[in-house]
This record gives sequence, C-alpha cells and structure tokens, in this order.
Amino acid sequence: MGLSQMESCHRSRMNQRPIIIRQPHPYVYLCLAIAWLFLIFSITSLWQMIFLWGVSGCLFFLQQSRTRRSLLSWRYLWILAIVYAIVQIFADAGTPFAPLIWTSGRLWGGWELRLTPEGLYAGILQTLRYLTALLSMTTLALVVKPEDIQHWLPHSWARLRILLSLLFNMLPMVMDEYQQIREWLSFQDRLFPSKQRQNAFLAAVLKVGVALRMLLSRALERSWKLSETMMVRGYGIGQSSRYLRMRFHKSDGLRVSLLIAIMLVYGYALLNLSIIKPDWISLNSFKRFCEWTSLLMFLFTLFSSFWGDVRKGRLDIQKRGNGD
Amino acid sequence: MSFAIDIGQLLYTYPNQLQPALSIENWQVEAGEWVYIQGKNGSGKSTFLKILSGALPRFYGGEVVGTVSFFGHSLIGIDPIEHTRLVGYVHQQPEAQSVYQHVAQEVAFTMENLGFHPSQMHWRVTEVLEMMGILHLRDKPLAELSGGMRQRVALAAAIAHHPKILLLDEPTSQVDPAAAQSILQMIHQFQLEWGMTVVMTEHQSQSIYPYAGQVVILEQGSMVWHGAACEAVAWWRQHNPIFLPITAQYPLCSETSPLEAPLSVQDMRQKLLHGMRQKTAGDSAKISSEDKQIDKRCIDFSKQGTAKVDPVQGLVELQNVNAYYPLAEKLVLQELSLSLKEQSKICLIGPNGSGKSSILRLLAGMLFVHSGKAKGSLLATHMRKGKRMILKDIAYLPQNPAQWLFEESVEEEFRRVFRRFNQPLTEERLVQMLKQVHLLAERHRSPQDLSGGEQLRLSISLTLLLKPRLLLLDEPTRGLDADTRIWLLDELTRWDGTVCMATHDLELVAEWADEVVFIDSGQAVVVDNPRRWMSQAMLYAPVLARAFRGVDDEVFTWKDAGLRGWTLCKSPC
Repeated sequence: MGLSQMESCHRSRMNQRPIIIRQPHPYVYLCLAIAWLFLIFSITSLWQMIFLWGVSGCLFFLQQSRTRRSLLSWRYLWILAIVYAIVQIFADAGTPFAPLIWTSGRLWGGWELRLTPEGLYAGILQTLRYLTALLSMTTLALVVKPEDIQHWLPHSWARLRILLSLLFNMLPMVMDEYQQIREWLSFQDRLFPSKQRQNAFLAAVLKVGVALRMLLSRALERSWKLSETMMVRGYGIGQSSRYLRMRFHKSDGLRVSLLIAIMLVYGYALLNLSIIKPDWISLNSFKRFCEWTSLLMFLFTLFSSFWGDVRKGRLDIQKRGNGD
Repeated sequence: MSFAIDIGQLLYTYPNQLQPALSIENWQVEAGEWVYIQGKNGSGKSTFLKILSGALPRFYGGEVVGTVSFFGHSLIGIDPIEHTRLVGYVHQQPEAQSVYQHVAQEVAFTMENLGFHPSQMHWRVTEVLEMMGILHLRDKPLAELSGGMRQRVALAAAIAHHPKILLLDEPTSQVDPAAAQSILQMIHQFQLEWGMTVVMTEHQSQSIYPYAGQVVILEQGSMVWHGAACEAVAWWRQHNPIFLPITAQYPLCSETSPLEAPLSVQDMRQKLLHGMRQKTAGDSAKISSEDKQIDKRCIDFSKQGTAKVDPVQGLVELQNVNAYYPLAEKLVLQELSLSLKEQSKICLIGPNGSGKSSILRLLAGMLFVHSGKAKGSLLATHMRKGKRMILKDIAYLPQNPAQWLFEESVEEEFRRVFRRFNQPLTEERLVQMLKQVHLLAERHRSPQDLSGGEQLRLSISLTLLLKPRLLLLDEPTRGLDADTRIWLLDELTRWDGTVCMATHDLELVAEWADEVVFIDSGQAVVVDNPRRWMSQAMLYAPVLARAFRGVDDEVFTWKDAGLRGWTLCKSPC
C-alpha cells in the first residue's frame, strides 16, 4: 500500500519529526566524574554531604530501576558502612579536651574509646562520603558505555583504552554470572537440604567460596576466549582507526566550562574568600553561599547532561524504522 | 595460480606436550571452495581452525613444523595485518567474540584494527548489515539480541573487511533450524558471489554436505581422509555411518553406490519420486516385537492424543503461569499451561528466544512467578506470587554443563555427589562409574579440560546419580558428535523417570519423545504427539519427514522407512 492510500492519522504520525535524546560527549562524563569526586571529598559541611548523598542515592535508584542491574550488594554494603562509621567515630574523637559523650575507660594496652560530638560529626560525614562516592561511581559505571572510555584517553594509549573498555563491558556480565551461580547453588541446596542447623553458617560461607571460585574460573575462561578472538581480529597489530567519532558540541563545551568553574569556585571557597567577599555578609555565610551555589550549579549541569539534551528533528533510525 | 590454503607436512604440538596435537601431510584448497571439516569431539577440528586463524601458535604458543600458506603467503612469516585482511573468523559462541556493546561498533572492530578510514567503515558496516537483514539492529546493544541474531552479527563482523578466507567454528550449533538455514544460505552467497573460501566445522552434517565441495575427516588429530563430499560417503559407510548426513545413511539400500547417495532433502525427494516402493507380506512378518512397538508409535496416531491428563497423577500441572526473571520487568513466560506426567518424555521446541530455557528454569525454581496455578505431586510448597516455584526430586542440566563442573578432577565431581548424600564411595564403585561414562583414563583431569562430549557424559551421569523423578535438560545435544549423541539417547531411553528437554534436534524428538511442546513468545502454543505435529510442520520436522512429505507422511526415521517397506533403487524403475 502506498503512502497516498494511508489513512490521515497514519500520515500525520509519519510527518512528525521524531524526538531523540542526544547523549553528552564522553568528555562531559569524565568531567562530571572528576567534579563529583572533587566535591565529595572537599565538602566539610554535614548538611551538604547529606544533600549530595541523597542526590546520588536518587540517581542510583533511578539508574537501577532503568537497567534493573546493580553492581552493589546492599546486604554487605550496610554492614560495611556501619563498621566504617564506628571506626571513624572513634578514630576522629578530636582533641583530648573535646567534650565527652561516652568513654570506655582504660582498655587492654592502654587504649581508650572516646565518643565525642566532633568524632560523631566526623564519623557520620566520612561514612556518608564513602557511601556517596560508592553510589555515584556505581551509577557512573552503569551510565558510561565502554565505548565512551575510548574517547577519554589519547590515541597513543589504544591498548589501555580497549582494556578499560573491556573491563566496563565485563563488569555487568560478571554480575549477571554471579547471580546465575547463586541461583545454581540455591538450586543445589534445595536438592540436598542440610539437616543440621549448626552447619548452616558453615554451608553459607562455603557457598560464597564456591561461587567466587566458579566466578573467577568463568571470568578467566571468558577473558581467555575474548583475547584469542581479539588477536585473530587484528587487535594491536598496527595503526588503528575509530569507527565512532563523537562531535563535541557547544553545549558540551558549556558544560565542561561550567564544571571547571564550579571546581575553581568551590576550591577557592575552601581556601580564602576574603578578597572577593562583600562587606555586608560574614565570611562564613559567604563561604556557605558559594558552596551551595556550586553544588546547585553542579546538579544543574548533571541533570542537563542526562535529560536536557532533547533535540527535535534529528534523524533517528531506531524510531523511524527501515521502511520509513 | 597459488592455492587459497596450502599445507605441507604440518605438525603442531601444544606447549609442554610431547605428542603432536595435529598432523596433516599434504592438503590444498582452491580459492572459492567450501571445505567441511568433520570428526568426533576432540578429534582436532578446533585446533586445525586455530592454526588457520593464527591463534596457534601466536596466542597459545606451541611448535609448528611444516608449511602453511594462504595464497602463497607463508603463515609462519606472514605480516599479522596481511593475515587479518585475508581471514575472517566466527567463533562457536558469538558472545565470546564480542568486544563492544553495540552492533555497528562490533562489526567495525576488525576494520578499526586494520586502520580503515571512518567513511569506509561506515558504508561497509551498513552494507554488510543490510546484507544480513539486520540493519535495523545497528544501534542495538548486543545483550538484547537473540542467539540467532548475535550469530549474524558475528558473521557480519567477520566479513565486513572482505576477507578471502572465512573460518567458521560450528556457526549454527546454537541457533534454531530456521536461523541455521538462513546463515548457511548467506555463507553460500558469499562463496558464490565473492569467491570466498569457506572452512567450517559443524556436527550437523546434513545441513553442510549439500554446500561442501571438499570434506576433511579428522581422527585423533590426524587428517585421515579428504576429498569430494560425495566420495566422503563411501569412507564414512566403511568406518562410521552415523557421521553421514541422514539422507545418505541409507540403511535400506546399502548396495547403492555411495556416489549416488542423496546429500540433501531435494536429492532424496528426487530419488523417492523415481524410486520404487517395496512392501511385501514377508517383510512385514520380519518385524520384531521391538519394532512393532516403534511401528505403533510411528503409525497409530489415533491412540496418542492430547487428552488432558488427570492432574492428580501428573508430576506438575501448570495453568496460565506468568513468570519473570528476578531483575527483569518483562514477563518471560505468559499464560503457560503445561502438564508433566509420570515417565513421560517431553521435548520443548521453538525458535531461539521463545522461552524454552525459561520453562526449565521455572521448573528448577530460578524464575519468579507472577500469577497462575500449579498442582502436582512434585510441588514442594504452594506457588505464590513473587516467589519461586519449588519442586522436589528434580535435576536440572543447563545449556553449558561445563559451567557447573567446578571440582579439580573428574573423580572429585563424583565424590562431591556422594558427600552430599553422606554416602561412602568405594574405589570399586568409582571405577565402575567412570568406566560406564568412558572416563576412566580421564579421572584425574580437570572437568574443564575435557571435550564437549566428555563433559556432557560426566554431567549426565552425575545428574542421574541423584535419581530424580523429573530430569530437566537444556539442549543437551548441542555441539555433540554423533557417537555421544547416541550414547545420550541410550541413557535417556533407559532412564525410567520423566524427562523434559529443550532442544533443536528434531531427529531426537521424532525418535525418542512422546510429547512435543512448541513454545512461542513464552507460551506453549502446541502440545501434541511429536509425529502427528511434525507431519504437518514445514521447518520443525526431521530431515526424513521433509524428504518423504507427500510421499509417505508416516516416515520420520530410517527405521520407520524400513518398517513401512521403503527401499530405493539404483536407477528409476
């Protein structure tokens, strides 16, 4: 049936220009990652850290709900976070003259555990920092495509580029395999249920060991086969070229500039603001104002990178299909 | 003019080994020829392909003695760039050769390494994807593609740089019959139109013989025979006829000249149409009681219907079950209704990605149930929404059993099962079991180092030790040679429990199963007697059923043909 014979509703749909979301240039992702880490490790305010932690948590859950895949195991992450928090709280107990909330008294070897408000503050801040860094890097690992990494590094580093790209490619695969192995082991457990309750813990520990061993052997086998086919397909034999060349748009340039500016402002805010501080505001308030502004600007850049690049009228082969 | 491939006195020895793994005296291949390498599991087919692909000795090491040359260039001293230009290679597992995540980039990988200009790469990628009929997938992630599609992408990636020699390691072993046929036709097109030399290994000889110009037979690492495909029939008839294409196995008329043996369904039909049907009373009297049983299964369809089984007697009865993978949004099984009876032999068939493996995983308790009902004596707990369906007394063997063999030796795998049962394993018993699976000599080897057939034998025997009431097998004949396939068939025939198997092996379905379930988009669309259903199917029918279609619709195997008095003449009668 020709186009002229199609119903009007079909024709109007065909005439609509498809909307596509253009991905930011890989350099933007790299810049975002650097700025994000810079902010996470520069922040000294607990409220700012809670804010960043909340944002990274939301991003993580958004990404996870989209891809249905996570590189983090919550069960172990929370245990690790609590242990980390306890260590940090007692390790950063502050000065010997800091007000005490609780003390353990002299322990064996002359050690003393002291809980102080400073320690509590620093411990929570450090733990949130650790969690935020972990969540944001996990999200980034799911957002960044292995191909993006190839753009991050210069041409002369071709081997490192492809290795990192493969690593990113392998991570989700390994997680899938780990899931499969766990399923398989659970299936075996159902076949041979342990009758002795006291052996349950030992069996669980052994199961993790078996799963890791299987995972390692399968990962090695997979890497081996992949390396073989890569060699057969000519990897590393001479001067290579690149199939995908992503264009660095003006908007990408704007974002990168903004992120560099944010880092500079925030960094400067940490050092000294007395030179540019207006007289009508205290130094501390001005510092906080600069920090929050930088944070909000960063978030604006982040969200614009993910969702802001809606362009109308671009050709989208996937949406138009072959016959269009 | 130089040969496409020229080998002289080749000996290859793996590192730290004394005996050569491959020995080939003199062998030449003309440009544009299709070579089919045939042999048992572990006969050296993959080693041979690896030498031609350059992986041996460049990647694995080892020692090569003798000469190997491509179009006059010696493989030993050839520039790797020139070698990559000349050769395209398709791995047995397409996922094992994927470097990138997206189709177009994956196809362009070899061209990137050869330094092609981006504009060259773009039109070549477009052209090759168009040719494969997968242009619409160019921006798709590889992880979202089915096995058949991934195999096409792998093939596209192998030919995008226009190699002169295409090496294929069992390229159709993982795909359904339709995809396999389509892939072979594409390769044939490259051979005819581009003059590409094709060297291929595959266990399903029926689909390859019609295309093959030359057949190479390997045994224990030595090339024992090579020549034209029609001449290979004579060699196999003398040595091991089960390796022949089914149409050429010809048990009814062995005195016929091997050169006249039909190598394809079309040839077979020609012979049938010009042949003679002999059916005498004397022949019928010779039918043994065992054959009568088969004859009944073959002919008397009226007694085997699709009547619903009493759910109380069924092991598992599923009604309108919807199920999903733990982290997936989409339902993989939709409105599935299936009944597994005591001692039944059920085969699940259907295209790649239709949900066959998912059904087995549902039964093995690896999928979450969304809705539906389940009854049956094997059900350990009530089926609940958002939970797994738990069955007792079952065993499950996934697609690649080697993945689940993780002990250090074959012997340890047996010991593990006995330890689980808290039973002692005596040396005598162990030796007896190892003998049964022909693995006594391999008892100290790592299961990962065994050949595909050996791994399957080991996995099956370990699984049967569990004495399950329901055995779930996921494509167990994939990549198996004819000998191991027969071993498997014998084991399963002897096994008195219920077996539910997902497979693409239609000959096995016709020969062994008593119920076939056709799966499409996660639904069981047909549950029927295999022979009755296959007599109507065009593609999902055994080779002989297609050859005899319209001539005698009750023939599915050579045994059926014999029982029904079929024989073929040398010349038209």
